[in-house]
Amino acid sequence: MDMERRRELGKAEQKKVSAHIGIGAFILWLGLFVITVRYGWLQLVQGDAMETRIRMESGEELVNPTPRGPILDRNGRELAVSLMLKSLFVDPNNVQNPQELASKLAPLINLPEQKILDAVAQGGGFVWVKHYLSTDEVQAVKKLIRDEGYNCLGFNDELKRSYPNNLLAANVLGFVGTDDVGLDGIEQAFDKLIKGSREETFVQTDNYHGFPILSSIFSKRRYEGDQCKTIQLTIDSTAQFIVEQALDEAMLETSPESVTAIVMRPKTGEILAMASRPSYDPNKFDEYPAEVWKNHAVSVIYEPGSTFKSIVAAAALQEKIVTPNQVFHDPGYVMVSERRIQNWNGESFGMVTFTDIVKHSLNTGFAQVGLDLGSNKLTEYAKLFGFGEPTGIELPGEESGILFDPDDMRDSDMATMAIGQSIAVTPLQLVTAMSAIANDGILMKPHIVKSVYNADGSVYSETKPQQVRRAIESVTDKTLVGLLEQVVATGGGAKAQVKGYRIAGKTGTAEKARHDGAGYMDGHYIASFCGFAPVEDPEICLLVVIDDPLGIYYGGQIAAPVASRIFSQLLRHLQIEPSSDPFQGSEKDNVKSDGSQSAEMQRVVVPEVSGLDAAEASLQLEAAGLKMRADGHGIAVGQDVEPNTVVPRGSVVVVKFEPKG
Amino acid sequence: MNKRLLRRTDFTLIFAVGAIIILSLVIIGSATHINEAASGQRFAFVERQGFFAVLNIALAAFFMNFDYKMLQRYGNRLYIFNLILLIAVMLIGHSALGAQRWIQIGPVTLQPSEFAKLIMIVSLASMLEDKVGKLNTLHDLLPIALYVGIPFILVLKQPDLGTSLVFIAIFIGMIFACGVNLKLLGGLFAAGVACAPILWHFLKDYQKMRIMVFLDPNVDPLGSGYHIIQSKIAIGSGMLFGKGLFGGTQSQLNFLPENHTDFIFAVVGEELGFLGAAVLLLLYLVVLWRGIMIARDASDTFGMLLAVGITSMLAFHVLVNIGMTTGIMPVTGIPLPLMSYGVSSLTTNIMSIAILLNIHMKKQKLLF
Repeated sequence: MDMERRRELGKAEQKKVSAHIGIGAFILWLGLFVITVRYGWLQLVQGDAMETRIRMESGEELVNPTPRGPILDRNGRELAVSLMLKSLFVDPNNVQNPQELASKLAPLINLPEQKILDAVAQGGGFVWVKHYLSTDEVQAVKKLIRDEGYNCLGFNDELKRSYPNNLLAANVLGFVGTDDVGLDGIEQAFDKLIKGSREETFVQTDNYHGFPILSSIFSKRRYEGDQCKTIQLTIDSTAQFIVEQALDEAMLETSPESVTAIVMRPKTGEILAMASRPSYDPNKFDEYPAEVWKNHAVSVIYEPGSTFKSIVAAAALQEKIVTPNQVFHDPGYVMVSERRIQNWNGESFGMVTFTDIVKHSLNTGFAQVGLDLGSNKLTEYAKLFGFGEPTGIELPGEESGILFDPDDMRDSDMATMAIGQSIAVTPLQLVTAMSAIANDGILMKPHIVKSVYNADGSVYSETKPQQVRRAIESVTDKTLVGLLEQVVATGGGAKAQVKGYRIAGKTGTAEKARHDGAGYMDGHYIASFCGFAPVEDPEICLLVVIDDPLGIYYGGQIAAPVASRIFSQLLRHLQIEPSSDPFQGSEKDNVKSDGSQSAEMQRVVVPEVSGLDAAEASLQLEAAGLKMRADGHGIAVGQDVEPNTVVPRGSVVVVKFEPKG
Repeated sequence: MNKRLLRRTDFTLIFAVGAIIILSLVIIGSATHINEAASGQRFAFVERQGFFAVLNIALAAFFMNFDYKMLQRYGNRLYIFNLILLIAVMLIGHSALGAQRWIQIGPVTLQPSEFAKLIMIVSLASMLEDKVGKLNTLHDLLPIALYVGIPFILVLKQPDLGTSLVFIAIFIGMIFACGVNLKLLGGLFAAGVACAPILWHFLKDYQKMRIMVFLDPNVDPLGSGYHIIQSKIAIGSGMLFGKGLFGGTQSQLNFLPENHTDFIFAVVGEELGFLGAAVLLLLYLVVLWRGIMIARDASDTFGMLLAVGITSMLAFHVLVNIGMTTGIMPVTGIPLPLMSYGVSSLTTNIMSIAILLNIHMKKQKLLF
């Protein structure tokens, strides 16, 4: 074949090939078109559905148990906190030798072997062994798991509500039951706000290791926003501690059924301390009888007795029925509607002024004043001072007390009401009314929540002092305060005195009403003292109620001394200047001018703290005006300054702590 | 290389291929950087692929000095070499993923079946060169079928179903270009379909599974069907604009195995979306279009057939691979040319493109 022919032939062949290539190309374009349509369909039409599937596969719905919000005192000290603790579970399906597991595990977590065997015997894949393990227990069990290769044991994080100060303010705080439900006190009242939540977050994770992808870590919401609010109370834990310590002493001294005390700031209506005994430890509330959970300050009503005379005196002075120097004849007893009303000692004081009547709490005088006021005025002033209705404090279970229907009052009712019997009040109502007297006659609404914070620290709500109304005129109030100061200075409340301070107040000793309401129980009394200090500029108003003491039962004898103890420590804690003699005004200025210096020069006695835990020791020292530095943890075993040493106020005491056992 | 040849260089093809390789390096980086982060070499795969890309391009540039026509003379010798290579794999190759496809040479693991495709194209082109319009009877076709059949069986036995199917695609593409009797081809196809049930018995269990899964991926969603489902989810979730480079979750986080090799298109779809995938497809379209044009303009039949074989191979790879990742083709494990990670595949593809460029340079006009 010559080249030319060959080339010709080649040309023809190439033409054929070329034609076929054209057909092949067409098939190829068709194929490309098909796959383009296909992935376009996947991406543009089914895209959303695929995205949803990705979320299901490449991510996890992480459940973050948001802890219940903490409760703090007015200075930010923690009263209730939520801890993330480890709880131990067993997977019974994976247990090879239950007996061996039980015998090795039991001593580590301080549990009887049988309990572990029982847990394993329940079967299934998940049974709790023990909730809330201590750090040491967790370490020990982890070591056991490592050493023995037990893969049947595991830990889960669980939230636990903890009250670091144990009994402190228990009746105010309340407690939390299972499922994070606040069952009493602030925990109940603010349950919705501070309740923890289970926040579900979508986190994209690696298929192999479950590592979250970086970007989704950054975008993950932390515990923020609406969840996990912080409640700050008006309670001052040092004041609370001082009060509770005094109540504990009162319980020992007078063996009453219960004691209750409230400390309020008259100018604002803030509750600085509120306590009752017997109380309970909210950390293990279920170990106590239900009666002690009750907050006596708001949920228990009692007949106030003579402390209520302050209100009656206010009404009488305001209505100008009496003047302080008006002279009365005290016959020792009076008969009103065939009911005998007598003085506390049954004796006659002869010719007395109204001041004397208040000072010595003469029932005969007040019975007359009550009759002179009449049912309407008596009830009107009681209501003006806030009696007969709940104060509206942020605590659950508040009672409204019992007043008469003024149209239904007989003379004897007027007389008994005037001496604080046959009506019923809550301790909070009484301290609120007394605070109005301390506050120039203006009734403030009591409150115990200072503010609520969001998780990010911003303020969610803040309680502003709220005036309810003016109960009596300022002039009247000044007269009344003068009378009440006389009660403590030279009258029945003398035992409430604190050297250097001007205190006003009123004692009370009431017959205890029978629980069925039919008359009074013989030989059972409620002793109380209600007063405020310092008179020239009242900072604290205090009520102490001793319910059914054993032995001496007069308020002036047993309640006033408790008040005195509380007053003296509180005034020092709040760094309130001692009152100067009101008749030497010039000196008063001097004291004020170098007040800071005198505070510095103050000396205090170091208390004994050994045997206490850190929170108690710190409160004890703070109450004495000292600061604590902790060394170690556990129970106090020593302090660098010996007890009963006199040191400058504000000194630091180093306390050594060692773990229990 | 002289200036005249340089002027004849198909820059459109070079541009498209270069763009695909660059995109490939970026996507491989995206697909592997998370899993490689642990080893401290986040971009080990990219570096390796990039190194071999540069090496191959340099090699290809060097081969431009030669004329592709000399290959015709080596057709049969290359064919024998090919068979030796494939038999060597059976004897000394090492297994991975249940197949014996690789030969270890120093640090490089070679997959001879990849090279076998290109060698097959060269051998077949030289064999078919004088058979244009002469494939009318079974008698004409049988020797050629046998010629392709031997390496086909060797590759199928490895087992490497995907690559063996490429052989068939090349075979059909080239005999079609030669003007095979279409009735004959149709008959052959019908016979193939008729034999399918018999062939079914020769398939390994996993291969049967793949075909069943192709028909219904939910047969075994966590096993064989897993791949397809994950791939479809990844591509679908990319939607129009994609999740952005390095932003793919499904394809990166081990949900999609082989995401840097056979299923790399899923990463493109997820991260670059429909538009990104469309750009990639457009680049392939350019490559294939150039392949076809080069085939038509080739100066001789051998060159035409060579270009047809190469274009058929590339087209089959692109269609089957993308069809597989989008769930309209069974999973056969063939890479996306120039995109998938793999030294053997990359080398074969760059050399194929080099041959196309070479054919283009020597097109008819140069003769005059």
